[in-house]
Amino acid sequence: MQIESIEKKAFNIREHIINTVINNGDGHAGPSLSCTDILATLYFGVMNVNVDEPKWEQRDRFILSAGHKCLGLYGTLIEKGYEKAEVLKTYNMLESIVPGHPDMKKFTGVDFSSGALGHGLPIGSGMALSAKLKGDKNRVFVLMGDGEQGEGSNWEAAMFASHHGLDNLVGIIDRNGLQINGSTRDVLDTRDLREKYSTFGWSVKVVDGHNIEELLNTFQSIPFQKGKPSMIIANTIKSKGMPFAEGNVKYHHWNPGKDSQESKDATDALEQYAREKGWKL
Amino acid sequence: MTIKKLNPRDVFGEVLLDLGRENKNIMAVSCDSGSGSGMNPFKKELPHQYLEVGINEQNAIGVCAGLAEGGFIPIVSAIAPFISMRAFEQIRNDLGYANMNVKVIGSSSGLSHSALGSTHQAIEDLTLMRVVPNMVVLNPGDGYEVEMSLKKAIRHKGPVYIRMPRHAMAEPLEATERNFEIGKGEVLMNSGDDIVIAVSGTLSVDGFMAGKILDEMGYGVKVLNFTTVKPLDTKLLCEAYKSAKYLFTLEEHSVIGGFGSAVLEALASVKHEAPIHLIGITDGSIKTGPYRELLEAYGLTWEKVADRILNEIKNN
Repeated sequence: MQIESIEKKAFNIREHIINTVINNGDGHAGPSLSCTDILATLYFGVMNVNVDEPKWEQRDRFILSAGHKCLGLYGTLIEKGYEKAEVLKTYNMLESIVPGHPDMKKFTGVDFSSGALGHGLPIGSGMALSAKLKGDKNRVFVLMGDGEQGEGSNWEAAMFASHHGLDNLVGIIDRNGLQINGSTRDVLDTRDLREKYSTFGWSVKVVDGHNIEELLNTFQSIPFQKGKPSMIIANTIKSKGMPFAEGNVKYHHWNPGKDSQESKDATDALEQYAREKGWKL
Repeated sequence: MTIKKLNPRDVFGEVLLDLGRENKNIMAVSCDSGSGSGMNPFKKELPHQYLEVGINEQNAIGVCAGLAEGGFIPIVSAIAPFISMRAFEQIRNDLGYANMNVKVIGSSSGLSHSALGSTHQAIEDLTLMRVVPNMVVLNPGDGYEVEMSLKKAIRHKGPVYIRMPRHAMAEPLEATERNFEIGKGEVLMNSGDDIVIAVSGTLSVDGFMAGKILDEMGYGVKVLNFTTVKPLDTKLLCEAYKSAKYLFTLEEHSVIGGFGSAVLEALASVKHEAPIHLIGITDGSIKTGPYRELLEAYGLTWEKVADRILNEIKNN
Protein backbone atom coordinates (compact mmCIF):
# COMPACT_ATOMS: atom_id res chain seq x y z
CA MET A 1 0.00 0.00 0.00
CA GLN A 2 2.74 2.40 1.00
CA ILE A 3 4.62 1.65 -2.19
CA GLU A 4 1.58 2.35 -4.34
CA SER A 5 0.84 5.59 -2.52
CA ILE A 6 4.43 6.73 -3.06
CA GLU A 7 4.13 5.78 -6.72
CA LYS A 8 1.02 7.94 -6.96
CA LYS A 9 2.83 10.82 -5.29
CA ALA A 10 5.71 10.42 -7.73
CA PHE A 11 3.20 10.54 -10.57
CA ASN A 12 1.66 13.72 -9.18
CA ILE A 13 5.12 15.29 -8.91
CA ARG A 14 5.84 14.36 -12.56
CA GLU A 15 2.59 16.00 -13.51
CA HIS A 16 3.61 19.19 -11.70
CA ILE A 17 6.99 19.18 -13.43
CA ILE A 18 5.70 18.55 -16.94
CA ASN A 19 2.74 20.92 -16.68
CA THR A 20 4.90 23.68 -15.25
CA VAL A 21 7.44 23.46 -18.05
CA ILE A 22 4.67 23.33 -20.68
CA ASN A 23 2.94 26.31 -19.07
CA ASN A 24 6.18 28.27 -18.77
CA GLY A 25 7.49 27.31 -22.21
CA ASP A 26 10.76 25.92 -20.91
CA GLY A 27 12.49 24.55 -17.80
CA HIS A 28 14.79 21.88 -16.39
CA ALA A 29 12.43 18.95 -16.98
CA GLY A 30 14.95 16.16 -17.59
CA PRO A 31 16.89 16.29 -14.33
CA SER A 32 13.75 16.88 -12.24
CA LEU A 33 12.05 13.85 -13.78
CA SER A 34 15.02 11.58 -13.13
CA CYS A 35 14.96 12.19 -9.37
CA THR A 36 11.18 12.25 -8.88
CA ASP A 37 10.90 8.69 -7.52
CA ILE A 38 13.75 9.39 -5.09
CA LEU A 39 12.09 12.59 -3.85
CA ALA A 40 8.69 10.92 -3.47
CA THR A 41 10.21 8.03 -1.52
CA LEU A 42 12.14 10.37 0.75
CA TYR A 43 9.30 12.72 1.60
CA PHE A 44 6.48 10.15 1.73
CA GLY A 45 8.27 7.12 3.11
CA VAL A 46 11.45 8.13 4.88
CA MET A 47 11.90 11.67 6.13
CA ASN A 48 10.60 12.90 9.43
CA VAL A 49 9.25 16.40 8.78
CA ASN A 50 6.35 18.45 10.08
CA VAL A 51 4.41 20.57 7.61
CA ASP A 52 2.67 22.43 10.44
CA GLU A 53 6.01 23.33 11.94
CA PRO A 54 8.37 23.67 8.97
CA LYS A 55 11.30 24.85 11.09
CA TRP A 56 10.93 22.09 13.68
CA GLU A 57 14.49 21.59 14.89
CA GLN A 58 14.33 17.80 15.07
CA ARG A 59 13.20 17.39 11.47
CA ASP A 60 15.27 15.52 8.94
CA ARG A 61 16.94 17.93 6.54
CA PHE A 62 17.01 17.76 2.78
CA ILE A 63 19.39 19.63 0.52
CA LEU A 64 18.88 19.62 -3.23
CA SER A 65 22.51 20.16 -4.12
CA ALA A 66 21.71 19.93 -7.82
CA GLY A 67 19.39 22.91 -7.52
CA HIS A 68 18.29 22.86 -11.17
CA LYS A 69 16.16 19.83 -10.25
CA CYS A 70 14.00 22.28 -8.31
CA LEU A 71 10.75 21.51 -10.10
CA GLY A 72 10.99 18.03 -8.59
CA LEU A 73 11.45 19.52 -5.14
CA TYR A 74 8.69 22.12 -5.59
CA GLY A 75 6.29 19.41 -6.75
CA THR A 76 7.22 17.25 -3.77
CA LEU A 77 6.82 20.03 -1.22
CA ILE A 78 3.49 20.99 -2.80
CA GLU A 79 2.29 17.37 -2.59
CA LYS A 80 3.47 17.37 1.02
CA GLY A 81 1.33 20.43 1.70
CA TYR A 82 3.86 23.24 2.20
CA GLU A 83 2.37 25.33 -0.61
CA LYS A 84 -0.56 25.28 -3.00
CA ALA A 85 -0.03 23.98 -6.53
CA GLU A 86 -1.05 27.39 -7.91
CA VAL A 87 2.40 28.79 -7.06
CA LEU A 88 3.83 26.80 -9.95
CA LYS A 89 1.90 29.04 -12.34
CA THR A 90 4.36 31.77 -11.34
CA TYR A 91 7.42 29.62 -12.12
CA ASN A 92 10.34 31.91 -13.03
CA MET A 93 8.18 35.05 -12.83
CA LEU A 94 9.20 38.23 -11.06
CA GLU A 95 8.92 37.91 -7.25
CA SER A 96 7.91 34.26 -7.60
CA ILE A 97 8.68 31.87 -4.74
CA VAL A 98 9.48 29.21 -7.36
CA PRO A 99 12.46 30.49 -9.35
CA GLY A 100 14.79 28.27 -11.38
CA HIS A 101 16.71 27.23 -8.29
CA PRO A 102 15.29 26.72 -4.80
CA ASP A 103 15.62 29.58 -2.31
CA MET A 104 15.12 28.93 1.39
CA LYS A 105 14.15 32.57 1.92
CA LYS A 106 11.28 32.21 -0.54
CA PHE A 107 9.83 28.72 -0.33
CA THR A 108 8.94 27.35 3.10
CA GLY A 109 10.17 23.80 3.38
CA VAL A 110 13.36 24.35 1.41
CA ASP A 111 16.03 23.61 4.01
CA PHE A 112 18.89 25.36 2.21
CA SER A 113 19.20 27.42 -0.96
CA SER A 114 21.09 25.83 -3.81
CA GLY A 115 21.99 26.31 -7.43
CA ALA A 116 25.77 26.40 -7.59
CA LEU A 117 26.91 22.79 -7.84
CA GLY A 118 29.11 21.17 -5.24
CA HIS A 119 27.75 23.11 -2.27
CA GLY A 120 25.25 20.60 -0.86
CA LEU A 121 27.54 17.95 0.56
CA PRO A 122 29.66 20.42 2.59
CA ILE A 123 26.56 22.14 3.99
CA GLY A 124 24.91 18.79 4.70
CA SER A 125 28.07 17.66 6.48
CA GLY A 126 27.91 20.73 8.71
CA MET A 127 24.24 20.07 9.46
CA ALA A 128 24.94 16.41 10.26
CA LEU A 129 27.86 17.35 12.51
CA SER A 130 25.66 19.93 14.21
CA ALA A 131 23.06 17.24 15.00
CA LYS A 132 25.76 14.91 16.33
CA LEU A 133 27.24 17.61 18.56
CA LYS A 134 23.82 18.40 20.01
CA GLY A 135 22.91 14.74 20.43
CA ASP A 136 19.95 15.13 18.06
CA LYS A 137 18.66 12.16 16.09
CA ASN A 138 17.71 13.90 12.87
CA ARG A 139 19.32 12.92 9.58
CA VAL A 140 20.50 14.95 6.63
CA PHE A 141 19.83 13.92 3.02
CA VAL A 142 21.78 15.51 0.17
CA LEU A 143 20.68 14.84 -3.40
CA MET A 144 23.36 15.40 -6.03
CA GLY A 145 23.70 14.86 -9.74
CA ASP A 146 26.30 12.60 -11.27
CA GLY A 147 27.70 15.40 -13.44
CA GLU A 148 28.01 17.40 -10.23
CA GLN A 149 30.61 14.93 -8.99
CA GLY A 150 33.11 16.92 -11.05
CA GLU A 151 33.10 19.65 -8.39
CA GLY A 152 36.06 19.18 -6.06
CA SER A 153 34.22 20.50 -3.02
CA ASN A 154 32.21 17.24 -2.96
CA TRP A 155 35.38 15.31 -2.38
CA GLU A 156 36.52 17.68 0.33
CA ALA A 157 33.22 17.03 2.07
CA ALA A 158 33.44 13.30 1.38
CA MET A 159 36.71 13.19 3.33
CA PHE A 160 35.32 15.39 6.08
CA ALA A 161 32.12 13.39 6.59
CA SER A 162 33.87 10.05 6.94
CA HIS A 163 36.62 11.52 9.10
CA HIS A 164 33.95 12.70 11.53
CA GLY A 165 31.92 9.49 11.33
CA LEU A 166 28.76 11.25 10.19
CA ASP A 167 26.45 8.25 9.92
CA ASN A 168 23.45 10.60 10.09
CA LEU A 169 24.43 11.95 6.67
CA VAL A 170 23.02 10.36 3.52
CA GLY A 171 24.24 11.30 0.08
CA ILE A 172 22.17 10.36 -2.96
CA ILE A 173 23.57 10.55 -6.47
CA ASP A 174 20.91 10.73 -9.16
CA ARG A 175 22.96 8.91 -11.75
CA ASN A 176 21.14 9.54 -15.00
CA GLY A 177 24.41 9.52 -16.93
CA LEU A 178 23.81 12.79 -18.77
CA GLN A 179 24.91 16.37 -18.33
CA ILE A 180 24.59 19.45 -20.52
CA ASN A 181 27.33 18.62 -22.98
CA GLY A 182 26.61 14.93 -23.34
CA SER A 183 27.07 11.75 -21.35
CA THR A 184 28.93 12.06 -18.06
CA ARG A 185 31.30 9.44 -19.42
CA ASP A 186 32.26 11.67 -22.37
CA VAL A 187 32.34 14.99 -20.52
CA LEU A 188 34.33 13.90 -17.47
CA ASP A 189 34.31 10.23 -16.66
CA THR A 190 33.58 9.75 -12.95
CA ARG A 191 34.31 6.02 -13.45
CA ASP A 192 33.25 3.90 -10.49
CA LEU A 193 31.50 6.17 -8.00
CA ARG A 194 30.83 3.25 -5.65
CA GLU A 195 34.53 2.54 -5.46
CA LYS A 196 35.40 6.23 -5.12
CA TYR A 197 33.06 6.92 -2.21
CA SER A 198 34.02 3.61 -0.56
CA THR A 199 37.64 4.64 -0.74
CA PHE A 200 36.69 7.97 0.80
CA GLY A 201 35.27 6.08 3.81
CA TRP A 202 31.57 5.93 2.95
CA SER A 203 29.26 2.97 2.97
CA VAL A 204 27.76 2.75 -0.51
CA LYS A 205 24.77 1.03 -2.11
CA VAL A 206 23.75 1.08 -5.76
CA VAL A 207 20.02 0.95 -6.48
CA ASP A 208 17.46 1.34 -9.23
CA GLY A 209 16.37 4.93 -8.75
CA HIS A 210 12.91 4.28 -10.17
CA ASN A 211 12.10 1.23 -8.07
CA ILE A 212 10.19 2.62 -5.10
CA GLU A 213 10.34 -0.63 -3.15
CA GLU A 214 14.09 -0.90 -3.56
CA LEU A 215 14.57 2.77 -2.71
CA LEU A 216 12.39 2.43 0.38
CA ASN A 217 14.20 -0.67 1.60
CA THR A 218 17.54 1.01 1.01
CA PHE A 219 16.59 4.19 2.87
CA GLN A 220 15.21 2.10 5.72
CA SER A 221 18.58 0.44 6.18
CA ILE A 222 20.54 3.67 6.76
CA PRO A 223 23.08 4.01 8.18
CA PHE A 224 24.40 1.12 6.14
CA GLN A 225 27.27 0.92 8.57
CA LYS A 226 27.48 2.51 12.00
CA GLY A 227 30.03 5.31 12.10
CA LYS A 228 30.08 5.83 8.34
CA PRO A 229 28.14 8.23 6.12
CA SER A 230 25.87 6.45 3.63
CA MET A 231 25.90 6.99 -0.12
CA ILE A 232 23.13 5.81 -2.40
CA ILE A 233 23.98 5.71 -6.07
CA ALA A 234 20.61 5.66 -7.78
CA ASN A 235 20.64 4.63 -11.42
CA THR A 236 17.98 6.68 -13.15
CA ILE A 237 16.72 7.71 -16.56
CA LYS A 238 16.78 11.35 -17.50
CA SER A 239 13.33 12.71 -18.41
CA LYS A 240 11.68 9.58 -16.95
CA GLY A 241 7.96 9.70 -17.72
CA MET A 242 8.28 11.48 -21.08
CA PRO A 243 8.98 8.51 -23.38
CA PHE A 244 10.13 10.61 -26.34
CA ALA A 245 12.71 12.36 -24.17
CA GLU A 246 13.96 9.57 -21.93
CA GLY A 247 17.72 9.32 -21.93
CA ASN A 248 18.03 12.10 -24.50
CA VAL A 249 20.46 14.81 -23.45
CA LYS A 250 18.64 17.55 -25.33
CA TYR A 251 15.85 17.47 -22.74
CA HIS A 252 18.14 18.53 -19.86
CA HIS A 253 16.50 21.88 -20.40
CA TRP A 254 13.24 21.29 -22.25
CA ASN A 255 11.84 24.01 -24.51
CA PRO A 256 8.46 22.67 -25.61
CA GLY A 257 6.82 26.04 -26.15
CA LYS A 258 3.11 26.28 -25.55
CA ASP A 259 0.65 24.12 -27.56
CA SER A 260 3.52 22.22 -29.20
CA GLN A 261 3.43 18.61 -30.35
CA GLU A 262 5.94 17.73 -27.65
CA SER A 263 3.68 19.25 -25.00
CA LYS A 264 0.81 17.15 -26.28
CA ASP A 265 2.97 14.00 -26.35
CA ALA A 266 4.08 14.59 -22.77
CA THR A 267 0.53 15.13 -21.55
CA ASP A 268 -0.69 12.08 -23.46
CA ALA A 269 2.03 9.99 -21.84
CA LEU A 270 0.90 11.13 -18.38
CA GLU A 271 -2.71 10.30 -19.20
CA GLN A 272 -1.85 6.90 -20.54
CA TYR A 273 0.23 6.06 -17.49
CA ALA A 274 -2.58 7.14 -15.18
CA ARG A 275 -5.10 5.07 -17.16
CA GLU A 276 -2.90 2.00 -16.88
CA LYS A 277 -2.67 2.50 -13.13
CA GLY A 278 -6.35 3.30 -12.83
CA TRP A 279 -5.62 6.78 -11.40
CA LYS A 280 -7.52 9.97 -11.98
CA LEU A 281 -5.54 12.85 -13.47
CA MET B 1 45.79 55.61 25.39
CA THR B 2 48.85 53.64 24.43
CA ILE B 3 48.45 50.58 22.29
CA LYS B 4 50.22 47.62 23.73
CA LYS B 5 52.72 46.04 21.39
CA LEU B 6 50.82 42.84 20.98
CA ASN B 7 50.76 40.12 18.41
CA PRO B 8 47.25 40.35 16.94
CA ARG B 9 47.04 36.57 16.83
CA ASP B 10 47.62 36.36 20.57
CA VAL B 11 44.96 38.98 21.21
CA PHE B 12 42.55 37.16 18.92
CA GLY B 13 43.33 33.83 20.60
CA GLU B 14 42.77 35.18 24.11
CA VAL B 15 39.54 36.95 23.25
CA LEU B 16 38.23 33.94 21.36
CA LEU B 17 38.94 31.70 24.33
CA ASP B 18 37.10 34.07 26.69
CA LEU B 19 34.12 34.20 24.34
CA GLY B 20 34.15 30.42 23.94
CA ARG B 21 34.10 29.91 27.69
CA GLU B 22 31.02 32.13 27.95
CA ASN B 23 29.14 30.84 24.94
CA LYS B 24 29.05 27.11 24.31
CA ASN B 25 27.60 27.64 20.83
CA ILE B 26 30.83 29.16 19.63
CA MET B 27 32.76 26.74 17.44
CA ALA B 28 36.32 27.54 16.42
CA VAL B 29 36.96 26.08 12.97
CA SER B 30 40.49 25.78 11.64
CA CYS B 31 41.71 25.04 8.12
CA ASP B 32 45.04 23.61 9.21
CA SER B 33 46.02 27.15 10.12
CA GLY B 34 48.21 26.12 13.05
CA SER B 35 49.49 28.87 15.27
CA GLY B 36 48.75 31.42 12.55
CA SER B 37 45.06 31.29 13.42
CA GLY B 38 45.69 32.07 17.11
CA MET B 39 43.32 29.20 17.95
CA ASN B 40 45.77 26.93 19.75
CA PRO B 41 44.86 28.03 23.33
CA PHE B 42 41.18 27.56 22.41
CA LYS B 43 41.85 24.08 21.04
CA LYS B 44 43.70 23.15 24.20
CA GLU B 45 41.10 24.32 26.67
CA LEU B 46 37.87 23.84 24.73
CA PRO B 47 38.49 20.84 22.45
CA HIS B 48 34.77 20.09 22.16
CA GLN B 49 34.20 23.54 20.68
CA TYR B 50 37.08 23.20 18.26
CA LEU B 51 36.84 21.71 14.80
CA GLU B 52 39.72 20.98 12.47
CA VAL B 53 38.57 20.67 8.87
CA GLY B 54 41.95 20.50 7.18
CA ILE B 55 43.07 22.15 3.97
CA ASN B 56 39.71 22.58 2.25
CA GLU B 57 38.37 26.11 2.44
CA GLN B 58 35.34 25.57 0.22
CA ASN B 59 34.15 22.65 2.32
CA ALA B 60 34.98 24.58 5.51
CA ILE B 61 32.57 27.36 4.57
CA GLY B 62 29.83 24.86 3.68
CA VAL B 63 30.35 23.01 6.96
CA CYS B 64 30.14 26.31 8.84
CA ALA B 65 26.88 27.16 7.04
CA GLY B 66 25.48 23.80 8.16
CA LEU B 67 26.69 24.30 11.72
CA ALA B 68 25.14 27.77 11.80
CA GLU B 69 21.85 26.35 10.55
CA GLY B 70 21.97 24.09 13.60
CA GLY B 71 22.44 27.03 15.96
CA PHE B 72 26.21 27.12 16.35
CA ILE B 73 28.30 30.26 15.83
CA PRO B 74 31.26 29.09 13.76
CA ILE B 75 34.41 31.23 13.68
CA VAL B 76 36.38 29.91 10.74
CA SER B 77 39.95 30.95 10.22
CA ALA B 78 42.28 30.42 7.29
CA ILE B 79 44.98 32.41 5.56
CA ALA B 80 43.19 35.38 4.00
CA PRO B 81 43.67 34.75 0.26
CA PHE B 82 42.55 31.14 0.52
CA ILE B 83 39.42 31.70 2.56
CA SER B 84 38.35 34.89 0.79
CA MET B 85 39.15 33.87 -2.77
CA ARG B 86 39.10 30.11 -3.13
CA ALA B 87 35.91 29.87 -1.10
CA PHE B 88 34.40 33.08 -2.41
CA GLU B 89 31.38 31.49 -4.05
CA GLN B 90 30.61 29.50 -0.92
CA ILE B 91 30.89 32.67 1.15
CA ARG B 92 28.63 34.56 -1.24
CA ASN B 93 25.94 31.90 -1.54
CA ASP B 94 26.05 29.85 1.64
CA LEU B 95 26.86 32.68 4.08
CA GLY B 96 25.91 35.92 2.30
CA TYR B 97 22.65 35.29 0.48
CA ALA B 98 21.68 32.68 3.08
CA ASN B 99 22.55 35.21 5.83
CA MET B 100 24.22 32.59 8.00
CA ASN B 101 25.67 33.48 11.37
CA VAL B 102 29.28 32.63 10.55
CA LYS B 103 32.39 34.70 11.28
CA VAL B 104 35.12 34.40 8.68
CA ILE B 105 38.63 35.27 9.76
CA GLY B 106 41.07 36.08 6.98
CA SER B 107 44.29 35.64 8.90
CA SER B 108 47.68 37.09 7.93
CA SER B 109 45.93 39.42 5.53
CA GLY B 110 47.29 42.23 3.38
CA LEU B 111 51.06 42.05 2.94
CA SER B 112 51.48 40.05 6.17
CA HIS B 113 53.09 37.14 4.39
CA SER B 114 55.40 39.68 2.90
CA ALA B 115 58.16 37.43 1.61
CA LEU B 116 55.90 34.63 0.39
CA GLY B 117 54.69 36.57 -2.58
CA SER B 118 51.41 37.17 -4.31
CA THR B 119 49.88 33.76 -3.61
CA HIS B 120 49.95 34.41 0.12
CA GLN B 121 49.22 38.13 0.14
CA ALA B 122 45.58 39.16 0.28
CA ILE B 123 45.23 42.63 -1.15
CA GLU B 124 41.86 41.91 -2.78
CA ASP B 125 39.91 40.44 0.13
CA LEU B 126 38.16 43.69 1.09
CA THR B 127 36.99 44.10 -2.50
CA LEU B 128 35.50 40.63 -2.51
CA MET B 129 34.02 40.58 0.98
CA ARG B 130 32.49 44.03 0.59
CA VAL B 131 30.34 42.83 -2.28
CA VAL B 132 28.91 39.83 -0.41
CA PRO B 133 25.30 40.55 0.60
CA ASN B 134 24.63 40.90 4.34
CA MET B 135 28.37 40.72 5.04
CA VAL B 136 29.83 43.03 7.67
CA VAL B 137 33.49 43.73 6.88
CA LEU B 138 35.87 44.61 9.72
CA ASN B 139 39.47 45.67 9.19
CA PRO B 140 41.16 45.93 12.59
CA GLY B 141 44.58 47.50 12.74
CA ASP B 142 45.72 47.04 16.30
CA GLY B 143 45.18 44.92 19.40
CA TYR B 144 42.24 46.98 20.63
CA GLU B 145 40.51 46.80 17.26
CA VAL B 146 41.14 43.06 16.98
CA GLU B 147 39.62 42.49 20.41
CA MET B 148 36.59 44.67 19.77
CA SER B 149 36.05 43.35 16.25
CA LEU B 150 35.77 39.80 17.49
CA LYS B 151 33.59 40.68 20.48
CA LYS B 152 31.17 42.76 18.41
CA ALA B 153 31.17 40.24 15.55
CA ILE B 154 29.97 37.51 17.92
CA ARG B 155 27.13 39.73 19.10
CA HIS B 156 26.16 40.63 15.54
CA LYS B 157 23.73 38.12 14.02
CA GLY B 158 24.81 37.39 10.46
CA PRO B 159 28.00 36.88 8.49
CA VAL B 160 31.07 38.93 9.38
CA TYR B 161 34.49 39.02 7.73
CA ILE B 162 37.39 40.06 9.93
CA ARG B 163 40.60 40.89 8.14
CA MET B 164 43.29 39.89 10.62
CA PRO B 165 46.70 41.46 10.60
CA ARG B 166 49.74 39.41 11.53
CA HIS B 167 52.33 41.89 12.70
CA ALA B 168 52.50 43.76 15.98
CA MET B 169 51.92 47.49 15.71
CA ALA B 170 55.11 49.40 15.07
CA GLU B 171 54.35 52.47 17.14
CA PRO B 172 51.87 53.43 19.82
CA LEU B 173 48.77 55.31 18.75
CA GLU B 174 48.13 58.45 20.76
CA ALA B 175 44.40 58.78 20.38
CA THR B 176 42.89 59.43 23.77
CA GLU B 177 39.55 57.72 23.88
CA ARG B 178 38.28 54.84 21.81
CA ASN B 179 34.78 53.49 21.65
CA PHE B 180 34.42 50.78 19.05
CA GLU B 181 31.08 50.07 17.41
CA ILE B 182 30.39 48.22 14.17
CA GLY B 183 29.64 50.89 11.56
CA LYS B 184 31.33 53.72 13.46
CA GLY B 185 34.54 55.46 12.52
CA GLU B 186 36.69 57.47 14.92
CA VAL B 187 38.65 60.71 14.88
CA LEU B 188 42.30 60.10 15.69
CA MET B 189 43.47 63.67 15.14
CA ASN B 190 41.73 66.94 14.41
CA SER B 191 43.74 70.12 13.93
CA GLY B 192 41.88 71.58 10.96
CA ASP B 193 40.31 71.08 7.56
CA ASP B 194 43.14 71.29 5.03
CA ILE B 195 43.88 67.60 4.77
CA VAL B 196 41.68 64.67 5.74
CA ILE B 197 43.39 61.28 5.93
CA ALA B 198 40.89 58.44 6.10
CA VAL B 199 42.62 55.21 7.06
CA SER B 200 41.50 51.65 7.63
CA GLY B 201 43.29 48.65 9.10
CA THR B 202 46.95 48.11 9.76
CA LEU B 203 48.06 51.53 8.52
CA SER B 204 46.15 53.51 11.15
CA VAL B 205 49.37 54.33 12.97
CA ASP B 206 51.06 55.32 9.73
CA GLY B 207 48.10 57.50 8.84
CA PHE B 208 48.19 59.07 12.27
CA MET B 209 51.94 59.69 12.17
CA ALA B 210 51.76 61.11 8.64
CA GLY B 211 49.07 63.45 9.97
CA LYS B 212 51.38 64.55 12.75
CA ILE B 213 54.15 65.38 10.28
CA LEU B 214 51.77 67.48 8.19
CA ASP B 215 50.30 69.09 11.29
CA GLU B 216 53.76 70.10 12.46
CA MET B 217 54.34 71.68 9.06
CA GLY B 218 51.37 73.92 9.69
CA TYR B 219 48.56 72.17 7.86
CA GLY B 220 45.20 71.60 9.51
CA VAL B 221 44.79 67.83 9.56
CA LYS B 222 42.03 65.37 10.35
CA VAL B 223 42.86 61.68 10.65
CA LEU B 224 39.83 59.42 10.60
CA ASN B 225 40.06 55.71 11.32
CA PHE B 226 37.50 53.22 10.01
CA THR B 227 37.72 49.70 11.38
CA THR B 228 34.36 48.92 9.78
CA VAL B 229 34.67 49.00 6.01
CA LYS B 230 31.08 47.82 5.58
CA PRO B 231 28.80 49.37 6.66
CA LEU B 232 30.96 52.47 6.37
CA ASP B 233 30.42 55.41 8.71
CA THR B 234 29.32 57.71 5.90
CA LYS B 235 28.13 60.39 8.31
CA LEU B 236 31.55 60.94 9.83
CA LEU B 237 33.16 60.74 6.42
CA CYS B 238 30.79 63.15 4.66
CA GLU B 239 30.99 65.74 7.42
CA ALA B 240 34.77 65.75 7.31
CA TYR B 241 34.83 65.82 3.52
CA LYS B 242 32.47 68.79 3.15
CA SER B 243 34.91 71.14 4.85
CA ALA B 244 38.13 69.51 3.57
CA LYS B 245 40.51 70.82 0.93
CA TYR B 246 42.01 67.38 0.23
CA LEU B 247 40.98 63.87 1.10
CA PHE B 248 43.40 60.96 1.13
CA THR B 249 42.52 57.35 1.83
CA LEU B 250 45.15 54.96 3.10
CA GLU B 251 45.07 51.17 3.20
CA GLU B 252 47.21 48.04 2.96
CA HIS B 253 45.08 46.78 0.08
CA SER B 254 44.57 47.21 -3.63
CA VAL B 255 43.17 50.63 -4.48
CA ILE B 256 40.63 48.83 -6.68
CA GLY B 257 37.53 47.96 -4.73
CA GLY B 258 38.90 48.26 -1.22
CA PHE B 259 38.46 50.84 1.53
CA GLY B 260 39.30 53.75 -0.77
CA SER B 261 36.64 52.62 -3.22
CA ALA B 262 34.14 52.34 -0.37
CA VAL B 263 34.95 55.95 0.52
CA LEU B 264 34.46 57.06 -3.09
CA GLU B 265 31.12 55.25 -3.26
CA ALA B 266 30.00 56.97 -0.08
CA LEU B 267 31.02 60.40 -1.36
CA ALA B 268 29.73 59.97 -4.89
CA SER B 269 26.71 62.16 -4.31
CA VAL B 270 28.30 64.67 -1.94
CA LYS B 271 28.64 68.04 -3.70
CA HIS B 272 32.16 69.28 -3.15
CA GLU B 273 35.24 69.79 -5.22
CA ALA B 274 38.02 68.63 -2.92
CA PRO B 275 40.16 66.11 -4.80
CA ILE B 276 40.27 62.58 -3.46
CA HIS B 277 43.43 60.46 -3.70
CA LEU B 278 43.58 56.75 -2.93
CA ILE B 279 46.80 55.56 -1.36
CA GLY B 280 47.24 51.81 -1.38
CA ILE B 281 48.62 49.13 -3.64
CA THR B 282 48.28 49.74 -7.35
CA ASP B 283 47.10 47.13 -9.82
CA GLY B 284 49.38 44.30 -10.81
CA SER B 285 52.23 45.19 -8.52
CA ILE B 286 53.98 42.21 -6.95
CA LYS B 287 56.75 42.98 -4.51
CA THR B 288 58.20 40.77 -1.80
CA GLY B 289 60.50 41.31 1.16
CA PRO B 290 60.49 41.96 4.91
CA TYR B 291 57.19 43.49 6.04
CA ARG B 292 58.16 47.07 6.94
CA GLU B 293 60.54 47.28 4.00
CA LEU B 294 57.75 46.09 1.76
CA LEU B 295 55.42 48.78 3.10
CA GLU B 296 58.17 51.27 2.44
CA ALA B 297 58.63 49.99 -1.12
CA TYR B 298 54.90 50.49 -1.68
CA GLY B 299 55.10 53.99 -0.20
CA LEU B 300 52.79 53.17 2.69
CA THR B 301 54.92 54.07 5.72
CA TRP B 302 54.17 57.37 7.40
CA GLU B 303 57.15 59.31 6.00
CA LYS B 304 56.32 58.16 2.49
CA VAL B 305 52.64 58.87 2.98
CA ALA B 306 53.41 62.40 4.20
CA ASP B 307 55.66 62.92 1.14
CA ARG B 308 53.02 61.65 -1.23
CA ILE B 309 50.40 63.92 0.29
CA LEU B 310 52.69 66.96 0.05
CA ASN B 311 53.46 66.14 -3.58
CA GLU B 312 49.80 65.85 -4.50
CA ILE B 313 49.06 69.18 -2.85
CA LYS B 314 51.95 70.88 -4.66
CA ASN B 315 50.88 69.47 -8.02
CA ASN B 316 47.24 70.36 -7.63
